Amino acid sequence: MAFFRFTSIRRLLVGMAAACGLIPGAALSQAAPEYALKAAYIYNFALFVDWPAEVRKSGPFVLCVTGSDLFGTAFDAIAGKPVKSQKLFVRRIDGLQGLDDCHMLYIAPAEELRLDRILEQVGVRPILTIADGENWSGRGVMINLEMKQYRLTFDVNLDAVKRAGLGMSSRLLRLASSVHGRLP
Amino acid sequence: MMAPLDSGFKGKLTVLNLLTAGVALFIAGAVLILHEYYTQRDDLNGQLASLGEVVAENSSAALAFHDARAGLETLRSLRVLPNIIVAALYDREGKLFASYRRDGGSESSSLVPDNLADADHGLEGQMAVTRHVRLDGYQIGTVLIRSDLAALRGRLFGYGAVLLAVLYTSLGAAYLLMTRLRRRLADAEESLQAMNETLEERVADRTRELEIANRELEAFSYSVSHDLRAPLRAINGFSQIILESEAGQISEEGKRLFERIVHNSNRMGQLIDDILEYSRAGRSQLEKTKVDIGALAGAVVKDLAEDYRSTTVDLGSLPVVDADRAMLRQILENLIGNAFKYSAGSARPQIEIGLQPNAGESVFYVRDNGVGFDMQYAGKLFGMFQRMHTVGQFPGTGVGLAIVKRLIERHGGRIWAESELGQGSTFFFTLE
Repeated sequence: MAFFRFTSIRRLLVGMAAACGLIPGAALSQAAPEYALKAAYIYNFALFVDWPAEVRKSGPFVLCVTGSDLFGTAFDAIAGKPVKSQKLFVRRIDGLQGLDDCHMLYIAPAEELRLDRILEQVGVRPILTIADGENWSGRGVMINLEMKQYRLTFDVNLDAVKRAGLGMSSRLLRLASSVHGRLP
Repeated sequence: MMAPLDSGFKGKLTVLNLLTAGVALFIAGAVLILHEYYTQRDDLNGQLASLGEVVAENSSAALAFHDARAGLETLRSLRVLPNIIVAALYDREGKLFASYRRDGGSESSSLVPDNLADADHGLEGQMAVTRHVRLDGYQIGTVLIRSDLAALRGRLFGYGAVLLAVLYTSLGAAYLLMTRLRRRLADAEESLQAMNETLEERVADRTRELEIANRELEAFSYSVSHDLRAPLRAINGFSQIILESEAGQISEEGKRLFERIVHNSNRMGQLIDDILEYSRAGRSQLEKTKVDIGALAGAVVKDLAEDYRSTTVDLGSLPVVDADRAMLRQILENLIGNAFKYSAGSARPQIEIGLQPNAGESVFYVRDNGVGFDMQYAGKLFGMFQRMHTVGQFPGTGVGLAIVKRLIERHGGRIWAESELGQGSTFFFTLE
């Protein structure tokens, strides 16, 4: 595979992110490559998930970030990009406050202890929860990113997605390395 | 006679007919096949385009998340279509992302270059389509699908085979039909020909019969004429005896009547002689020898001139000819005799006998400066018993020129005359 041409994980990840065509070259120098790629993935998730009509109103498409994350400036690369008819907007919040406007919620690994409470707080709101913790999809996070053998993969908790009233494209599901819950 | 059609010609006609029909059928079939081929090509192109659309739709996630395995899986779904040679996904920059090859990779890798920009779309025997992969309205990659045209060409060959079969059977049928029709035509032709042949036979038979009848008629008239002479002589002889021995006992009126009987029976005898001569002219054997026509004409002139002492005769130099001496003498006697007879009343009767060379044949002529005749009766001149003058003016039966004409025609020659009333006549003749 083409991956072995790269001599380091760093270069591999930069290459992959660039291949996705979603990260402007300027952003790469400032953000850690792994997080640049993760940001790109997060943006892509927005494109393969459908929100209920009532929350797809005009105005910004809000990606909320809670906890102290390691993305650095990586989110800058996707901020302002279009998601269907809306523009993506990144907002950092306290995990338990200000969830109402969020379409997506990224939960940093640092929130491990508060995870259950945060998820409880989110409840069945139509918010796509995303994290990169250790097997967090089993704990109720809808999409959990994970590095596996130089590849960024993700698990999906389909039950949680369904409970929140979100629709996830089968094309996305097919790419998931594992899916919790019944397939539609 | 109508010649039957040459069999080679018939064969050529058949070949020509079959060729025409074959070419027409072939062109029609070829046009149909070509039309079918291009229609199916268009169909295939449409199918490939929609296939590309579907693959592009299903590859968006794989491309977005850089999942080559998922992309390959999507492409592999094309293996149910045996005509797809290769299918490939390229990323936004046009670099190869995933590729499927029909025969597990044995297909030439030049069909799926590493860069989309190098892809050749116009390969022989192939058809290629590319479709953009879009995500949320933005192009994130490209799908390339190549199909071979083997199925299409297979179908084309199938059509070709059907066309050949149709050509073969229809030309065979046409050939059979043509031979049958031709046989019928030949039968009709044969019967027509047979009828023609019998017709000719019938005509020949009829001609023979007519010839026989004509000969019989001539023989009959000859013998009748011949047999009439004896009773005529009796009438003439006994009338003369009565005139001489009984002259004292019959009245002057009776004597005059008997004289008329004698005169008329004499004239009748002359007529019968002429008829017999005319008949002989047609029947006697032609014996050709070398005859010096000049010497012969001189002898004839010498014999006749005794009665016409005032007439001057100019005899030109004449050649030796091939002719029946007796017949030629008779011809000359008649013509020269006529010339003497009809010029006798002129102030200075003159006769000219000579040769007039005319376009390769020898034309003899006998010219006089006598009474001549009206040219409007020239056609009747050589007919039997046709006379231009009364017996009182010039004696004769009107058979002489008819005999001359017959004798000349026996020699294969022609005779004609020119004249002007009061200025004299010229008779021309040729001998073969």
